[in-house]
Amino acid sequence: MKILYLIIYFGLFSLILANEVAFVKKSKGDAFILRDTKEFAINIGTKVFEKDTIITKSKSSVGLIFKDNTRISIGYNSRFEIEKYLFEPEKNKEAFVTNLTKGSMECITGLISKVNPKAFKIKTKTATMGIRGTHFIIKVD
Amino acid sequence: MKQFLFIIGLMAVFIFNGCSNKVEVLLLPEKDGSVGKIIVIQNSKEIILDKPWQRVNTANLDKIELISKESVESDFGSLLDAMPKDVKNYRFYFKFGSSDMVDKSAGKFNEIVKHIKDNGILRIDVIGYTDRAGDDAYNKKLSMFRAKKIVNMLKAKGVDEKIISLEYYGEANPVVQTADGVPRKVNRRVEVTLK
Repeated sequence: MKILYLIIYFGLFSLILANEVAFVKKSKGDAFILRDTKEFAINIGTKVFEKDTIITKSKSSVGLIFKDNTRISIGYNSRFEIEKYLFEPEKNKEAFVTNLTKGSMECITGLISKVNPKAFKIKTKTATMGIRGTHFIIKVD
Repeated sequence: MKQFLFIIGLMAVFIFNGCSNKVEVLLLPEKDGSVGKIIVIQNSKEIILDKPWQRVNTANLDKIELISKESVESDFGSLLDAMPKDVKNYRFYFKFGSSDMVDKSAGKFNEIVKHIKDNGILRIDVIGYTDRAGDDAYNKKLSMFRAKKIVNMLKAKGVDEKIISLEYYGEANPVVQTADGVPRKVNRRVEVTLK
């Protein structure tokens, strides 16, 4: 019984960060998160969730680290949405689908594109990129 | 009137550009020189970038150019600056059937604490594992105790619990594959990722 309590306790414990798909490691200038039509300020350490859209203004940028260690930087005047993110290696469930509607991004892929190369996709209005790793820049004019 | 037409013309250019939505894709090498692959798909046309410094623009998918490192640095300087540093991985090994670290790993623990404090680490993933001696349920618990041990040691050193995520997977994901029931030192471990 004691074991059961421990498992419940640790289960909850790891839930504190469980829904977070990424966090803000670097931030410069004027940037915010659009979440369900509400705007949230971006600071170093801010949590990022699935379905969040990150918006940067001029002379601004944001650097993110995802749960699977993928790193993404978002340049000025950009709009970047995390459409789908799933990283549950124990269940073999991975998805990384994002939308870059405007602006620029740099990416260094992490574990998702290693364990499931087909899971990683970046969409723009006119083209789709299938990402099989590892380091790249995409810019939408 | 001439001026007016000029402004209309200029606006048309802007609107045209705004709607055209050209996408530029650049494939860069990794630090170690290796390179990945990107498939660019537009209106059922598909091209592949698989060499470092290749660039393509969706305005003309047939034209793949090679660009220089210098031009990337000058065009995308602020973007490159915003890229976070790579995560840092540590591995701690444990005694057989125990949540006590082997002496060598215990000796390295202060190194990780120093790295956390010196590098403004904001997230710490702690993941416990076991070897394949013992049954699944026992190993799942053992991997939890090992991970929890590391979390407690970090807390004792003043690391904020709120930035730590704890996970444990028993005998899954071994460093070295073995048959079931086989004890193996390198698989009795906790992996810590500093972000």
